[in-house]
Amino acid sequence: MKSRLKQPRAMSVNQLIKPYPGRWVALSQDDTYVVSVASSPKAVLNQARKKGEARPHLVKVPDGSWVAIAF
Amino acid sequence: MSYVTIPYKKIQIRAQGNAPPKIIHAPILKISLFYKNYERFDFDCVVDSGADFCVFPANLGELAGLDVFGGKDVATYGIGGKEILYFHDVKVEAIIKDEPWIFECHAGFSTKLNTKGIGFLGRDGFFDLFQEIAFNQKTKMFRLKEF
Repeated sequence: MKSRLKQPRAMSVNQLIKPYPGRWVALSQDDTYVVSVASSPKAVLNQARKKGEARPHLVKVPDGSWVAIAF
Repeated sequence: MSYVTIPYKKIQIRAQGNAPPKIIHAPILKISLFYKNYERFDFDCVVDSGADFCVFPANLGELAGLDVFGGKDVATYGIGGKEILYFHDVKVEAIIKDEPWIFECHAGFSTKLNTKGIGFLGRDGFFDLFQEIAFNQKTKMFRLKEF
């Protein structure tokens, strides 16, 4: 019998950013993983650059008073 | 003449007070600002037919290298009340169906958007690029018709 392996499902942006309410998150350019997390856009961008991400996608995660954009 | 049809993106609204969490959908594109040799980053913008012009967060403009507060300041009145926007001529790249669309526009930069991290693509600058932009709330898609 052929074995059928389940492929892991890619996480949505919404799932990726959910653990970081109120923080800035830099995602990889293809939105598949979190590169860095910080309290300001400048800090999160600097951290992402240090990790070699050439063109991160910056997202401000809502802290409860705003909305989250999912993909 | 060709069309580009793009699905809306999901927006998750968290529970607030007695209001339960909910999901809505909106026309959103990922964009990047060009300035001198600054390295690029992307952020999200709502395609907004109600916006007279493109508006971006001031802090992201500074991060892109602009002297935001050195721009022409203009008082504007919107649903968020009165606000001073700082205008600059900027080059923008919007990612549409994984393809880059580069355009120049006279955009306002808003400190009120600093905590939101998103911008708005308005009629002057973005809508000018297309013959027609149509929103279909039922199918949750929007369509850009090229000239």
